[in-house]
Amino acid sequence: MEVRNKIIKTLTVTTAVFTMATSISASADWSSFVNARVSHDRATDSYLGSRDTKTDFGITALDVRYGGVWQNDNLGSLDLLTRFYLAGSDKEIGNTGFDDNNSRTFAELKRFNYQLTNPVHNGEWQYAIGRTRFRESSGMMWDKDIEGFSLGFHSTLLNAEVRVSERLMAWRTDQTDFFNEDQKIRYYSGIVDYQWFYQSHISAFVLHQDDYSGLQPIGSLHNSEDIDRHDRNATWLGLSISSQFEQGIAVHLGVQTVKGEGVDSNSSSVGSKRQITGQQTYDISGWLLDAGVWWEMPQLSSWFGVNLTLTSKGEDKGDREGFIQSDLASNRYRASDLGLSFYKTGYAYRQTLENLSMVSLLYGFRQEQWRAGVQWNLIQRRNSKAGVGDSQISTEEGLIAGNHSLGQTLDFEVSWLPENLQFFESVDRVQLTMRAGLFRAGDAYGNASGKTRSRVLLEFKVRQDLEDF
Amino acid sequence: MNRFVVFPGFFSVLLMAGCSSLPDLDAGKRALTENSSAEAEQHFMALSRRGFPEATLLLGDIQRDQGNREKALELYRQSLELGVDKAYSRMARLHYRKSAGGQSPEQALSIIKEMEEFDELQAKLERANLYHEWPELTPFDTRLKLFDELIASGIEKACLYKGTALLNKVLDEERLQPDREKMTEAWNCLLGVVGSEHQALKPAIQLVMVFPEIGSIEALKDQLEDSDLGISRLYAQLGKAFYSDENKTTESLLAAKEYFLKATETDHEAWAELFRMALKYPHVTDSEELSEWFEKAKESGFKEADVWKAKQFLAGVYSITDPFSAEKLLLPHVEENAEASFLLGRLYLTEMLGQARFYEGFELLSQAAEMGKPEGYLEIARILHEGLGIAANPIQARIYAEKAWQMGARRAPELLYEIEASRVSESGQDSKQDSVIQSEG
Repeated sequence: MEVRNKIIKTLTVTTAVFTMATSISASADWSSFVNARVSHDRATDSYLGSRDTKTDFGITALDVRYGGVWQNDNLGSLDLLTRFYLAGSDKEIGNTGFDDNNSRTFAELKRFNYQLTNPVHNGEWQYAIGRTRFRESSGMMWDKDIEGFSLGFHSTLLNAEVRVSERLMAWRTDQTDFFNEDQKIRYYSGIVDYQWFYQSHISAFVLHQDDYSGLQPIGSLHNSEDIDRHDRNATWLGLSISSQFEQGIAVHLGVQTVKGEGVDSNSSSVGSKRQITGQQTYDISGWLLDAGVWWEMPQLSSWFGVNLTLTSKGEDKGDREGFIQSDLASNRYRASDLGLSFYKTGYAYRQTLENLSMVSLLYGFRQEQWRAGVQWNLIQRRNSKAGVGDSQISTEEGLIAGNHSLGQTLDFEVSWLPENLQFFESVDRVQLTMRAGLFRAGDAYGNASGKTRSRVLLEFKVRQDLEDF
Repeated sequence: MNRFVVFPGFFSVLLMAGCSSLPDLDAGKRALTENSSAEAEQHFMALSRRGFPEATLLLGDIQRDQGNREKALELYRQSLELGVDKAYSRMARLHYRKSAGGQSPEQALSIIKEMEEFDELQAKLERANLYHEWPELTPFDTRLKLFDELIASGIEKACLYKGTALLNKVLDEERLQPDREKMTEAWNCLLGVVGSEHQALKPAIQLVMVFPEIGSIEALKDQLEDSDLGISRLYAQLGKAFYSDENKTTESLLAAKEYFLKATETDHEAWAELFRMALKYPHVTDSEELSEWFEKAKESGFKEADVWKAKQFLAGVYSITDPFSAEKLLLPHVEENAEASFLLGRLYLTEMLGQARFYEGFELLSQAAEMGKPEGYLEIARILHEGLGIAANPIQARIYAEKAWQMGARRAPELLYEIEASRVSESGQDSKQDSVIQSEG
């Protein structure tokens, strides 16, 4: 693995340097920017007080991103985004206060891809190769920096893309953030979106996840972070339809199915390590339904939306046979053009969409310099005897069989994008954001029912396009 | 890989391959830049039917560029209803821009008032554009105040407007006792934007020629040396300034020739100016020099060199009239050059090449009009009106003359008047004959 990584890294860097040099010598246009961000993310206990030790945490970080695009009509474009995490400081809060301080500093290659437009027909076709980011509107594939090759067709009415991708290595100097769990998983995907009338879309996607890593043998000992906890080989199919009507009402309906199989590893503590104690194989067969209505109220600069999400509940055998998401899923909302990024199941809870029914109410507000949004969710477990997906909440007692209510979440986000700040008058964009999330546990959490977890993020971003500097 | 992937994957690729001919906004815009408005129209029409507001706006632009003002206005109105605010500016311009046949600045003003509600700065700029074209609509001080406000908001174009307004004020009203301070302010305004606003060059040169103690060609050269506009534009404008001298003395024409020649080094358009002057005033050059210019122009990539040479053969200047050589020169250019199409069309309607070829002539004249030269329709109208070689057809003549007028042909109203007058007199004669017949009966 190490040798392969080195070869790929060397090849990528060589290709990058060669392409940059060629682009520059061919008078290619290079536009670049710097984005600096200071953030503080603080959350209360994720065990909801079920453990003796409290696990509140706070992360203060300063990171700088440098990115740019080389553009040449003949050679295509090269998209680069690097991140320098300059002063990340994690603080876990124990009984005695801030007793654990892990400061971090690293550099990371976030995005680096070469893209050629117009190889076939009038600029509508394009292919990209390299470390890319890609998105799919339902959130099933979203925002991952991952190596891949894609071929796309982009026009006003039709947008389609086929892609093969696999995360090949960590591009961070501290070599973290690339665990065994995430390695040797290949994704094949195809997305088609057709706009049959203005702002009316029908979209379909297919995603196949091929996890060829294989689990560690039973009885072997590993560090906790090195364990490959599951292998899943599954195929997701999705179909969605959305339309916006003249009266400012927009509706969307999406369905997804998944079929495949998975193996989970069980492990237990042996001293400072964990030992693999068993493996459990299961079938994956599930569906998801997501439907919503939005009202746009331009006179109030506001949007109001109602959304319903249902996922299959699986069998009562304790098997995970409900809807399971791919390892790429991020579950961010894109229900309307708010410019906000809500997590579907709330910022403080962030459960994956498995075995649940969820009703959401959303409100968004946008004026020139301000964006704000509120989201409330009521989340139920559909099968009260089966487990749910991963979340940020983990109680000692676990979920109580027979109880449906997982809880409620309330999120609030506000962003200020001032246009004329004297202090920052030479800067292209300034943004101040506050995101706050509250989770209140339901009766499925037994003794922790009624307890809350909150999470708050404060973020200050400055962007400067360097050609204007 | 399992079948769930293979089938949809191939399906996606096949779908993408089969849909390359779908209507597309970008493809339409590209077609427009390549002067293929028919292809662009197809894209925009299909998208407009699917409710795309921008496509409707762009359809309006095509109609506007083809001289169909009413149709363009209707499409702009439609796109405005679909929420495209850009349509306001375009509608207003159709009403006030003289080059687009706009004759109703008052209507433009009422549109601009509506615009103010949601985009104050753009509305102010549009108002300034309008006052620049129609200065008589508002008092000088009001205009100047508006231009100053825009200058304070960083709109460079307002400097051009202010400089031009100050210059015209002095030239129109204070020529004998010019206000030096006002002229200096005008000069500073124009000089400041001459590098980025090409329209500023003409009044700046005018100011230099009238008030050489305030402005200078050297200062303009300094300003233009490193600008995008380039110094050749200065030479071309200087050439035009000398060429448009009311007295047209040999000295002024020779000065114009010198500047045009300098400008041709980088500015192709200067060749056209030079040839226009040479054909009109043969004494500024000789046939040998003119032949040399044609060669140079062609070598430098000036595509219209052949068309100008054909004009020389047709006009019989510097040589005898030679329609056969003219035809040979024009034929390769008729598909992409409106002027070539027009000249050859007109030539075919005469008997200079033997028998007149009416069908081909009309085809070429229509083609010239479709390519943006309304005089093509006007020429057809004239032939049909006067019955030159064919039977006169006043109804068809009127239709073509109206088309030419809608596209902005300057002489169209004159011909329309003639057509109408002859129809009235003919119907008058008819009614006289009717009354004679009745009285005889």
